[in-house]
Amino acid sequence: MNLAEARLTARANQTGWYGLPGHRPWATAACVLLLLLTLMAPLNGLVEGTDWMFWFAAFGGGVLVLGAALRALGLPGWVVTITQILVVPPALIACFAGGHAILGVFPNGETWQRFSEMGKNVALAIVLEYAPLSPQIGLTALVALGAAVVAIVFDWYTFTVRAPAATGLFMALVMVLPVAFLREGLALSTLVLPAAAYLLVLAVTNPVGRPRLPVPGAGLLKLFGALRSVVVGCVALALAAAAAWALPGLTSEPLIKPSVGPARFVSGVNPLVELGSDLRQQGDDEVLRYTTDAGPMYLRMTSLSQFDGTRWTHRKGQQVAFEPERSTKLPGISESGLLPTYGAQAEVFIEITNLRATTLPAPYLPLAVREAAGEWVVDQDDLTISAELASTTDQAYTVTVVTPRGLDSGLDEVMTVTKAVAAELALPEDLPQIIGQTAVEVLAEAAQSPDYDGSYVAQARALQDYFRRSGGFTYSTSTPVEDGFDGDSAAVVARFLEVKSGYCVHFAAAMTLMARYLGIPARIAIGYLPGSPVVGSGGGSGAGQPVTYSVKANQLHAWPELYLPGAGWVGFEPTAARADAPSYAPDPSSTATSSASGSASPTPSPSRSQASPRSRSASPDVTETATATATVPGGLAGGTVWPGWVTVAPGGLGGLAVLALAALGPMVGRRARRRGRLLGDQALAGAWDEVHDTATDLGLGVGPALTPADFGRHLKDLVGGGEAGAAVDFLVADVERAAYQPGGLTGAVAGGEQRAGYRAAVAAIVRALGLTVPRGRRLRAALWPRTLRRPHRS
Amino acid sequence: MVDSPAQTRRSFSVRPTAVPTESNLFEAIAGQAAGIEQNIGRVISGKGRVIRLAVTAFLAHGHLLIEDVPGVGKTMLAKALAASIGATVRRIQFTPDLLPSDVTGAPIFNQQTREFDFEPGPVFANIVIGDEINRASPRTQSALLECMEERQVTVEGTTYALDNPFLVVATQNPIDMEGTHALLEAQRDRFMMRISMGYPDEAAEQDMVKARAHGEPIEQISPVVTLKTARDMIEGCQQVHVADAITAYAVAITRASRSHQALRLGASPRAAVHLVAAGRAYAAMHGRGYVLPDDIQYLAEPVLAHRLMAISPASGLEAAAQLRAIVRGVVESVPVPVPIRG
Repeated sequence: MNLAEARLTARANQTGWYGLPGHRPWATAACVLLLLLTLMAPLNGLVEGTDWMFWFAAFGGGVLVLGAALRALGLPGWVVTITQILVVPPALIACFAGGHAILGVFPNGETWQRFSEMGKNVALAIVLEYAPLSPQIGLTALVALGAAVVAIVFDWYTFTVRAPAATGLFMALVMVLPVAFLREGLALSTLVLPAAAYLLVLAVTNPVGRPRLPVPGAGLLKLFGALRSVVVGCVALALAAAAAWALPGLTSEPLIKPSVGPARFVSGVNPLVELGSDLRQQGDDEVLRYTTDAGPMYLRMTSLSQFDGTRWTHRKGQQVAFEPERSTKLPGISESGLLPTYGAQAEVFIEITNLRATTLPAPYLPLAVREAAGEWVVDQDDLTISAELASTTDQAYTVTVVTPRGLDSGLDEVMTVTKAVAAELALPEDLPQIIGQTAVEVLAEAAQSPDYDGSYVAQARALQDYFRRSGGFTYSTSTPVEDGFDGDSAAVVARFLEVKSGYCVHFAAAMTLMARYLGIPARIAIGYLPGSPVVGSGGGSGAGQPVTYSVKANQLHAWPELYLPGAGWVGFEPTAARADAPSYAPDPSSTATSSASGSASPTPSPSRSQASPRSRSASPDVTETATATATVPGGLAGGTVWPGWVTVAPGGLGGLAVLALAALGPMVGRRARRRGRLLGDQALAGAWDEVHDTATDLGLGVGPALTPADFGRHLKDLVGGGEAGAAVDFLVADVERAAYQPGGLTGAVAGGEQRAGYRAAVAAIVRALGLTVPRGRRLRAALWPRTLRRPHRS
Repeated sequence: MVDSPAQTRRSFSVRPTAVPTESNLFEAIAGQAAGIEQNIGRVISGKGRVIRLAVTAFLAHGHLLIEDVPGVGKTMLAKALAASIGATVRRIQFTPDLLPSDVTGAPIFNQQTREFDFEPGPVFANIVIGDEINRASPRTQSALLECMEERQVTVEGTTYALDNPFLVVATQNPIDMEGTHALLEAQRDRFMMRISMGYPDEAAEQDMVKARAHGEPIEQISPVVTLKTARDMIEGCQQVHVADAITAYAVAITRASRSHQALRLGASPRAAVHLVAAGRAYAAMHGRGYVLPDDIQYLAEPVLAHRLMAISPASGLEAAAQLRAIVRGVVESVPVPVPIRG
C-alpha cells in the first residue's frame, strides 16, 4: 500500500461511510431513503393531487443517492453535505424556473423574480387556504425543496454525525405540518410506515453484536446480522399495525384535531385573490344545495365595489334587519313596488352542507330570509346578508327572491347617479389607459351593428359580448399565475386585456372597470354558479316542481353587476367558459335559441316564467360541460386535456437529469478531456498528460519531480511488461526525444499515424493501470477524477 | 518483440535511435568509457557508481574531490583511472609544511646556462592526486586550486600551460580533522564533484585482500584508450546537446538550493555550469547525444552537495550525508520540464 492509498483509506475511515465495523453503508442509505419516502404518508393530504409525491421522491431521493455515491467514493462528510446543498438550487431552478434562467440552471434577475412571485403565491395560499392546497408550481417547488432539506439533514445525521436516532427529532418536526394544516389532523395510521422505517434505520446502523472476528461461521453470523435488521423492522411494522388495529378510534379519528373548520369563503384581506386561489384549489365537494321551482340560480354572497387601484373591497352600507316591510327601500325596488325588470317572487330553500362563511348565499334579489339560525342583517346597498356572530355552517333557510324579467322595456334612458351608486362609478386615478381605450373600442365596434341603440343596456351587452365572443378571450386559471399577473389590481386587469386569458375574477374586474369608464355603475358580485340538479330530485317531473341543485366548491364565481337606470343592479356573465350569458343579455349567436326556448341556461336571475321543463332538464348538462372545460386552459378552443402528470413528467425527468448530470458531470468532463487530448494537435503531449492524469486519478500519482523515464519505470512496475509495458516504453522514448533531443521529434509528432499510435498506447496503458487497483478506486477515478480541476500539463 | 499481426496493428514499438550520424560518436564514447570503467573495476570491486562518477568527471573535464576514511581505495581509484587512459599521473602528499612551489614547480638556477630554468612541479601531469589536501596550509591549497581553475601555472611572470587532459583528484579525510585546514567554500566550489568511496561490502573486501596477494594490483592495469582518444572523448562530450529545458532545470535546481531553509549557502552559478557539463559527459557515456533530466538528477548529489553549507551542520561523515539528503530534497521539489508541445 503506497502513501496515497494509505491516505485514501484513512480518509475513508473518517467519513463514517466505512467507519463502523460491520457497517453496511448502502443498506443504511437504502433504509434512510425508505424512511424519507414513508414520510409522504403523514404528509398526504397537504397538497392536492399526487404530483407533489413525485417531486418529493425525486428531490429527496436524488439528494440521498447523490450523498451515498459521494460517500462511497470516500469523500469527507462535509464535502458530501456541501455538494448536496449546492446541487439543490440549480435543480430547483431547472425544474421550476428553467425558462427563466441562464441555460436553465443559472439564476438571473428573472429567476429571482419568478421565485419571489412563486413565494408570494405560496405564502398567500398557506395563509389563506385550507389543506389540501392547490398544486400550484410554487408549492410543488416548496415540496421539492423541503424534501431535499429533509434528505440532507437525514444524510447528515445518519452518516456524518453518526446519530441516526436524531432523524427522529426531525421526523417529529415534519409531523407538525399535518397537525397544523390537515383538516383531519395527524392520523396515527399514517405514522406506521415512518415508524417502521425509522426502526429499520436504527437497526441497520446499530453495530452492536456484529461478528468482528474471522471466526468459523462468521459469514452465517453476518447473514443473521442482516436478517436481524429486517426482522426488527418487520416486528416493528407488525406491532404498529396491531396497535392501529386494536385502537380503531385512533385511525378513523384525527389524533390531534386542528382548530380550523372545513368551510371557507372569501373573507380575508383580498377576497378576489383568495377567490382565484379557491378556484384553482377547491375540489368538487358539495358546499350547499338548494331546492326551488324557479330554475337554477346564481347564489350571491357579497359584492365588491370599492376599488383603490390595487384591491377590491366590500363597501359596507347600512345594515338592516331582514324584514319584508322594509324591502321597499332596497335598491331596485321602487316605492310603487317591484321594478318592471323583475318578475315573480320565488321561494328557495338552501341547505349549507359544507361551507363556513359569514355571509349567507342567496339568489339575487333576496326579499326575505327565514329560518336562518342566528341574527342576520342585510346590507341596504348591495343586499349582502351577513352576521356578526352567526356562521353559515349547517344552516338551512328559505330565501324569498324576485327574479328578473327582462331588460327590453321600462328602462330609463337617463342615468341618475344616486348616492347609493356613486361609489360604484369611482375609478382609480392611475387607471391603465388600455382599460378605457378597450371600452371605447368595444362600443365603437358594437356601433357597427344595426341592433345597437347606444342605450346603457346595449353598452353592457356589448361589453359582455366582447369578453364572451368577439374579444377572443380564453378561460384559464393558470395563465395569470404563470404569467405573473394574478391578482385583481388595475395593472392586472390591463395585463389581462393584453393576454386575453384569465378566469372569472379577471373577466369580472375588467368588465366592471370598463363599465365604470363608460359611466355605468358597476361592482363585482361573488358567489356560486347555479350548480347542477341532484339526480332524482324531480328535475324532469315538469314545470312548477321543485328541483334540488347541488353546488360544489369549485363553482365559486365572480361576475359583474351593472346598475342600469330603471332596472337596478343587473348581473352579467362575461366569463364564457363558466356559464352561459344571462337571458336578458344573451350571446348574439344564441339569441334565436334563447328567445325561442326562453332561458337556455342558468342565469343570474332566471325567470320562472321563461323556464320550460325541457330547458330545465337540458340546462344542467350545459353547465356541467362548461364547468368541466373551465378548468382547462384554452377550454373554449376545445384543446386536449392532458393529465397533470404528463405535463409534470418532463420537468421531473429534467430534474433527475440535472441530478444525474451533477453526479456524472466530473466523469463526462474527464472523458471529454481524454478525447480532446488524444485527437488534438499535440498528440504526444496529450497522450503523456493523459497517462499522467489517469495514474493520478487512480491514486497512483507521482510528484512533478519525476523524469519521463522515472515515470515510465513507475508505470511499468505497476503494469508489468507486455503490451502496456511496450506502450510505456514507446511513449517515454518519444517524449524524451521530443523534449530533449536536438530538433525534437521532427515532423513525426503531428502525423496521423503517430497519433493513432499514441492513442493505442494510451488505451493500453489506461486499461492495464485500471486493472492494478481495486474496483472501488477504479469507480472513484471514473466518477470523481482528482485531476478534473488540475490536469497535468507537460 | 514478437512480430505478431496483433502487435503490428498496434503501431507503437520502440523505434531505433533517430540520429544515426551523431549517435555513432556518442556510442563510441560510451563504449570506450565502459571499457575504462571495466578496467578500473578490476582493481576496485563493488564500486561501480563511484567509478562511473569518476569517469564522468574526467570526461566533463572537471576535478574530483574524494572524501572518505583512509584505506578504502581513494588513491587506487585515481591511479587506476590514470593507468586506464595511459595518462601521466603524479601524486602529492599534502603536509602542513608543503610549499606552493612544491606543487607548481619552481625556477632552478642552471649553473651551465647561468639562468633560472623552470622545474615543473607535480601538477604537470594528466592526473594529479592530491592526498589529504586539507592537511596543507591554505596557501599551498590555493596554489593547487589556481592550477585547477586556470589549467596553467604562472611562476615568476611566466605562464606554463598544464597538460591536457588535466584532472585533479584530491582526497581528504573527514574524520581526522585535527591540525587540518578545511577547504574553504570557494575552494570546494572548484571541484566538479565530491564522491565518497564508502567501505566495500564483504565480498569486495575479500577480493581486495586476495588481489594484494599477487603484488600491487595497479600494476595489472594497462591503458584501454590512448591519451589522444581520451582527449577526443572529452571533446566529443562537449557536443552533447543540452536542451533549453535542461539548462533551465539545472539552473532551477541550483536556485532552489539557495532558498532552501536548511542551508546557509546554496549552490553557485558555477555549480549549474558543472552540473550541465557533467550531464553532457554522463549522457555521452550512455551513447546519448542529448542530456536527459535523469542525468541531471543523478548527478545533482555528487555535483552539488559539497558546495552547500547547512545552517546546523552535522559532523564528520554525517555532514556529507546530511547535505546529500538536502540535495535530494531540493531535486524532488523542482518540477521536471517536459517541453513536448510544439
